[in-house]
Amino acid sequence: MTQPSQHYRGRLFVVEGIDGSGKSTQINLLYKWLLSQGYSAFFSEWNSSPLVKRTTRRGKARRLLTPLTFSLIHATDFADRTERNIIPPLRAGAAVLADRYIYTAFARDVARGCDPAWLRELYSFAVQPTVAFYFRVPLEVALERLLSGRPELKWYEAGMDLGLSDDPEESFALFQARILEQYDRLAQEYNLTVIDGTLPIGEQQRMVRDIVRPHLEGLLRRPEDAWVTIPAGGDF
Amino acid sequence: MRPEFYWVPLPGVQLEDELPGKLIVLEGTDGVGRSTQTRLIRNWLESSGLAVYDTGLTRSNLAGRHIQEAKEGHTMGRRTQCLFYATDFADRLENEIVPALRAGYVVLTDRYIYSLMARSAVRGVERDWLRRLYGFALKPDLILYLSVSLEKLLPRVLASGGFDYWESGMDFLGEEDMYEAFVKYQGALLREFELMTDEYGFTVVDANRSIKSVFADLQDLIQPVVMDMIPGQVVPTEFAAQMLQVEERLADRRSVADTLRDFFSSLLEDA
Repeated sequence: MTQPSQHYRGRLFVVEGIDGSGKSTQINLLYKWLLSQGYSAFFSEWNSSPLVKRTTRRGKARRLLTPLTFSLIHATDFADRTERNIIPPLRAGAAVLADRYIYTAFARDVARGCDPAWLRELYSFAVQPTVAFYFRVPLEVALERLLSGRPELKWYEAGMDLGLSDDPEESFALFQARILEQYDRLAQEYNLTVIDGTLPIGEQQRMVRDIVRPHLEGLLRRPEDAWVTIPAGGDF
Repeated sequence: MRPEFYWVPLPGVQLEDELPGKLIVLEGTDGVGRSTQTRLIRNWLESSGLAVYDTGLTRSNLAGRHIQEAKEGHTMGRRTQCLFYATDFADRLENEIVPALRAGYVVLTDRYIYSLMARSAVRGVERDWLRRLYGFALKPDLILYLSVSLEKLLPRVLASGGFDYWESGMDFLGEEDMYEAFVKYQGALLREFELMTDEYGFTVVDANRSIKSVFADLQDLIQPVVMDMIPGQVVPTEFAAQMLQVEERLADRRSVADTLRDFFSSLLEDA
């Protein structure tokens, strides 16, 4: 990554993990804590420009995407988010939170057959996070959490484009297993901060806050009377 | 052609060692006459018995229309725009160019990754990053670069309807005057193409001349590349002007077909 976050006054905290790892729950709790401590926290969502969003939606709905175009359209989305949604608040000195980051693309696109070195170049414009948390859970735990409550798996989400299985649930399980394998490698390569996602939620959050706390000095404070919008969970 | 990539192969695409088609690229800045020459070459090759597939930028099924809209609204940052174009190019490469090469077509593309890289580079995107981003591109059999001087370009652009907002770099130059912007922008683009000439092995064709003499040169350069497809059949022809007229009639018919296709696909989109 060419842009370490030390170049900015703000701090970037990101969470990663497979679906069902509990990362969104944790980052929402972190966000609320930062606000309650009086910091100016900014939740960077994947609300990309309408055009990129429409192309992505169209590509997914009509199943037009190949591993390459799937990867590129998400990189487009990420660039948009970086340019509009991450760098400006970092420059202003805020704490920026991101639910999923470049590691999601590294894990998922390699699982689809993209070249790892090419992906690292592609995303080399990304700002390096201050802390990148990886919520690690065994595959069975994630599947149990997800498949018990979820009505229908989407085509690309289940990795159906890879032809691993005709059954969406089985395909999803096989695809997630591949992604999990990639995440474990990434955790080493990028020195991700690994949190055991099977621990009680409160305990995980205590660990997260302990790790984040030392990085908060000098961050922008929020005006006492400012209104805050609490966003819904993000989706990559 | 023997399929080779600049850096990485297309993920999940199994390619044979040898594809029966050929990939010929026409490159050059705006207003240099690429589309006219593409039409002439197409007619010439088809009349020689070769199937030709011609394609241009921002026409893909995935993002083509949205790119047109993005231009109208110009709402994207430079890197986002660059990646949006790359997505569109990848879609065309995988869904049009590669299948046509497999089917034995001469694929004639009006611009390729080089224009895309030049446009982004003049807008400040790092050249090295661009080269690696487009590392998935197939190496063409022939890259014909229509080279023109800025002085020759100006009257052509004026004759064909004047300066265009994007072709003048108005989106980023901060120039009040469109003429100044055009000169600066096209000058910068020409320098980018010059930088790429050796690296990518462009065959430079002097386009500061008449349509007919440029076409004659292009025929001489293309002939050896396609000769093995039907030996002895493809010979340069002198009827450029005549074919231009025929082609203009065909182009009219094609634009009707395009309009209808866009109309129907917009109905599908809304549904």
